[in-house]
Amino acid sequence: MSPEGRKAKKMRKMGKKLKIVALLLLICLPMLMQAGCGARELNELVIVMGIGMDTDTENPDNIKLVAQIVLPNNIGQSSSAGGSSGSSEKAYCNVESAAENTFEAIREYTHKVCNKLYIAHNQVFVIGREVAERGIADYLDFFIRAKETRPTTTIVIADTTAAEILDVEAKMNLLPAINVNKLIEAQAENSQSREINVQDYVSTMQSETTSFVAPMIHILQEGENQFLSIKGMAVFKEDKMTGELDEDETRGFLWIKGWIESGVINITAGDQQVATEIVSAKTELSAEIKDGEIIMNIKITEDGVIATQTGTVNLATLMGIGEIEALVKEEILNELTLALKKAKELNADIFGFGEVLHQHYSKEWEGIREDWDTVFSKVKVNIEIETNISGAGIITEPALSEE
Amino acid sequence: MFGYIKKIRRYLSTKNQPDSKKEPKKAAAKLSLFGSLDKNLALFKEYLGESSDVIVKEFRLGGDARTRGALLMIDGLVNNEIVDLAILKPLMYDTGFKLKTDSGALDIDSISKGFLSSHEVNKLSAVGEMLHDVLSGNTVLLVDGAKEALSVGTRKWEKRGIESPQTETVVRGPREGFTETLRINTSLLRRKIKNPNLRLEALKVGRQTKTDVCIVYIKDIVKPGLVEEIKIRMAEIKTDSILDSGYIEAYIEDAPYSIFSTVGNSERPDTIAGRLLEGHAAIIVDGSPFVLTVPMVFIESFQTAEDYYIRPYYATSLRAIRLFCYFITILAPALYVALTTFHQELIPTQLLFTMTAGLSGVPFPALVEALIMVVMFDILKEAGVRLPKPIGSAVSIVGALVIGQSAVTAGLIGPFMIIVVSITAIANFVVPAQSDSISLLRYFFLILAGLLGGFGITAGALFVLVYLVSLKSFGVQYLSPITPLSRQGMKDCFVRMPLWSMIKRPFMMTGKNNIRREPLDVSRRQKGEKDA
Amino acid sequence: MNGNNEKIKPSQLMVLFIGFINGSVLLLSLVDSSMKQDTWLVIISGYIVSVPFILTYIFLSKKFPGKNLTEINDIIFGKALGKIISICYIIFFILLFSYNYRQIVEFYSGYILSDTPQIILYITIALLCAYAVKKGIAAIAKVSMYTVAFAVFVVMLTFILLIGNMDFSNFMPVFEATPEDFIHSTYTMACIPYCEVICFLMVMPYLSSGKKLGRYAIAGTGIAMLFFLVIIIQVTTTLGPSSAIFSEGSFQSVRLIDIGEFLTRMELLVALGITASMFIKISVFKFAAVKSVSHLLRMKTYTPLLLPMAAIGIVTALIAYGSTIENAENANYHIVFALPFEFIIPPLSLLVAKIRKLPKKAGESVP
Repeated sequence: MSPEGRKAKKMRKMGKKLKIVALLLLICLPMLMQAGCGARELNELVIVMGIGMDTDTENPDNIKLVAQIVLPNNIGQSSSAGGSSGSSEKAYCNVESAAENTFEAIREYTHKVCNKLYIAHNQVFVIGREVAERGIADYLDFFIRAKETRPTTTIVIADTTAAEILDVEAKMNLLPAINVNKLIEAQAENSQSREINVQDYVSTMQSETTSFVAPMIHILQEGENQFLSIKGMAVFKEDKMTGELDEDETRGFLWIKGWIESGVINITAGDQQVATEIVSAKTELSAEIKDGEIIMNIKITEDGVIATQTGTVNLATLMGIGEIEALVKEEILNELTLALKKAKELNADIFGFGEVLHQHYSKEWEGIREDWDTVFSKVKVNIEIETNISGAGIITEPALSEE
Repeated sequence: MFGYIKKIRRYLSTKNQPDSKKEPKKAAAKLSLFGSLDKNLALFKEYLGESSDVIVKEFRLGGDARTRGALLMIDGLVNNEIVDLAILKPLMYDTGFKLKTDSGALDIDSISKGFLSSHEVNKLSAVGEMLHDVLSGNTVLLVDGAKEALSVGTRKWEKRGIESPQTETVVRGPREGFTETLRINTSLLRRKIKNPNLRLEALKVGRQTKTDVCIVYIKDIVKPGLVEEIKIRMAEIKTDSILDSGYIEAYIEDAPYSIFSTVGNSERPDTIAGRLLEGHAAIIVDGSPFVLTVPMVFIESFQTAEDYYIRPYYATSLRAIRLFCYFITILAPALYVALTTFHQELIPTQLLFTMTAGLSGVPFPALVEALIMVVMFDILKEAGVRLPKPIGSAVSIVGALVIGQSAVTAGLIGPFMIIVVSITAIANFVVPAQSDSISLLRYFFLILAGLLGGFGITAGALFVLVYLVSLKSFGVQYLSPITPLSRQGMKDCFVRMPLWSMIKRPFMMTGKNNIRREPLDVSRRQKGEKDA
Repeated sequence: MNGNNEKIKPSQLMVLFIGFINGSVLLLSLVDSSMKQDTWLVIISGYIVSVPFILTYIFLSKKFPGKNLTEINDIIFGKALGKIISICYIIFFILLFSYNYRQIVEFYSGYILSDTPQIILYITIALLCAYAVKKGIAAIAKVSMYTVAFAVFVVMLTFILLIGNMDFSNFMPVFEATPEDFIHSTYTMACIPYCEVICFLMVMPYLSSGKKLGRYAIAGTGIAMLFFLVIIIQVTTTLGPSSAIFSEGSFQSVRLIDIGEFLTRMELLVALGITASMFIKISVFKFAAVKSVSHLLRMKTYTPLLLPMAAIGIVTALIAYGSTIENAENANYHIVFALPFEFIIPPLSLLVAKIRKLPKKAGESVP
């Protein structure tokens, strides 16, 4: 090939390469300009740990949100300063905002706070009593729809207002919201309340008949200090709170659902008291339709150990254990009865009887489900309880015993 | 117009150059000697010039003490003792030979066969070959009246002794490494494989440097067609200089634009011997202690020679660590940036607080911070290699304390970034064979992560995967033995199965001769029975 | 680029099948919203319904070995009609891959990278798939091995981590859905994940051997069906009745993983698995489209078509629907649109081929 031909070929090759490079640049440069758009730097985040919902006193139609925003810079300080308040700064800040609906309230925060709220790490939703009685579905809808929310966020109903709950200083943990969350988790140890999260809420709301329940939280005043306490659960009809279950009723409710993890059962045998610890419990719930009547069969199997006894007579003998088991059975039956009574009183199917019927008798269910409100109170319940005491601690008789 | 003027000037200037400048060097290879010694010496002087290390020793051959002869050698490349004792002494003092044949012509063969006590004597007729031999350290014997010359092997020069290889050290295993001399390297390989099928084919590459290159392979084991392919590619190399095996690598590799190298190299004879036995071919380049092996697959960068000398479970865990470190070193900064900028929900809550607190004073976005640190790491690495030893420790102090600690205190970088970069740095050195591609991949993923978060990393990973999957090295797919899946190959890929279970050679490499071991029945040994 | 002409082994084809069908995992939530807890039935019934059609495709390609779809159309229906049908198929493929572009970009926009402008995601995916197609179908088949392995790993991992949350009573009551819903969903399942393998007819010429092709194809589809089953079991048991309202159930169920307070929010892994699978699907569609166009226009190689095809795909995806809701609704229309291409024309082709006794043996002229 002649030199000119060679040069021309070179130029063409270079031209092609330049074209490719130019094309790539044209594609990449605009992308580089725009692509970092979704990025949020860590120090720009407004991390929310807890959200409370209350009614707005000024404007009754509005919803007032209380967001507990973390100030990460102060977290190191407060932990090193120990428990002394005053000189150390708080690691959080409760900010309020009110608007007609939840999303507007959340966006209203941008008037007061540097950036949009970041709710992906939100630990707990505290719902004030008034809002609960008004109905929570409208307000929780935004959070379920938002992609940032975790479905494992817990929901708890405040006895008074959410703002007060979120203000109670946390002694054990850094932030009140984390404190509340850990407190809720601890309820598994006494089984007189239970952790309910957003996923449970959505699932329960899907069912036409089951009623939603959520733990209730109170403030206790002990002298100078304020403590939070979780006891009992709130019962909802649709999405409005209509009643409460106290500790024993909650225990009965948890028995039926099979959500017992651990707890205390107190019995009296003569003039002695025995407290047993529930080690494990299993519930079998099934439905039966006989002669047009709905019968729910509940079979409970419980395993426990003797935690403490009063008196000097040793009750950890074969005969004594038999007695105790019978007495425990009575106690459980008692709790169950209380729960069933309360549920029928509130006409709220908190146990999910309707759904059990739906799963096994779907044809009959179709006919019944619209009248469930009336049918529920007529449901008969068959209870079968089996208890077992499997141990009594590390001593075989009380330290101060007869003989 | 100016261009036209320039063209004319160039034409005129070349026209005026004396012709003599153009002709001589081209035909050196084809020239042959004259009959007369003086003319020959003049010819050589013309070619070699007046360099001070060219020695021309004229002497008179014994016998009739009338024939003149000359020795041509380069000082520093020849073994002076041998020249004096094996060439000069017999030629000068032995009187018994007859130089002339019956027909009267000078018989140089008789000298080589009868009077030179040297085992390496070649008869040459082309001047080009003689020049090459002289420049390689041989001594050329010219005799007045002969048209051929003898080239006697007298190579000796100062060289580095066999040391432990600098780049690939092992805890357990041989500690010999290749040196810069071709012959020593081939001797190391010969000592490992005492097999007559081990063949060495010599080539000379490079117009100016005329470097000796040797292709080594085991005849019945090597992948069929491989050696021919190598020779074809070597023949296509038309360059001035080959200074290191890296040059050859650049010329013969399959994917010259790729960041992944498709030609392996090693400084250890046992590694090369192992690869030869698996069907690879090795290319030894004179002047470089790094011997090339072709073809190369990706997983080879994770296999070290030591893997096969230690116990299989431990070797497997080391392999797993290496693979893990490879991914960490490429992805760690990218993952950090992606997590902190786009996917903060993946970070555990407690950690989120500390990270946010740590980043509170930092003015840069995470991407910039990461880029600064990664560039800083590369700078430190390079500086550490280039600095002379006495100052070496200063670099580590400067690097660690000043840049790391002070940068954090000054608020330039967050503390987490330092941790991420240190992990990246340490992981980098676990897989040294891939260093060149690692650094570039790291930047690639980092920028993608900064732009598009987790999606960017996935897209980047898919891109690199598609690229790797279509990469081939001398006909073997780069990602064997995973793609295409080969059961035998997988025994040495992510895990290192015990030696006695790797019975066949990797399929991609070899043709028919693919049994390398007899299966060993280990269960009998465990029961305590004696071997049959 | 020699990669364009490399052959695929049948086992690689099976993995490609699996990878391709896995890419339709986003469809599952759509079916879930109408079928609720009976979705698993639909997955199995969809598979059973689609098996005969897949066999039709295989027979077609076995009857005309080494020929791709456009060539087969030419032979069976004659030059003019065959070309028209091929053009219809080209439009079908282009619509399919732009539909998939839209799916994946919307998925990312909706769930993960919501603030990034969508066009950038489109461009990235389009370029990535164009690059993969440029390297050839063999490269795509090899990469699908890795993506399938990764997707299976993610699914297995999340399944195991969610075992604690599973409540198998959520499967009751069975057969609650109405027959119309059932048939509709079965048809959707058969149409969209399983029978879209019609586009593999463009890939068949690249096979190194046609033996056992039917076995591999059915096995591949079967394995993909198992994959879907595992996902649906996971979603139904953990989310229960609420799986119907979530627009992406597998995503939401993975959000429930909360182990030791630090292994939370693993949905990013699911997103990556979905991306990897959809990448294979889009690449195969793009390959089919580009190859058929290049064959129609008698081009030697399809490389120049890649970027224009990508651009067409992006534009189509952007203008096709106005919102996510329209996108979801579109599934109902799409299955009618796909009816002729997947279910009518291939059996018809086979029938016509049998009637006309095609392919003629070598030496006879082809009309």
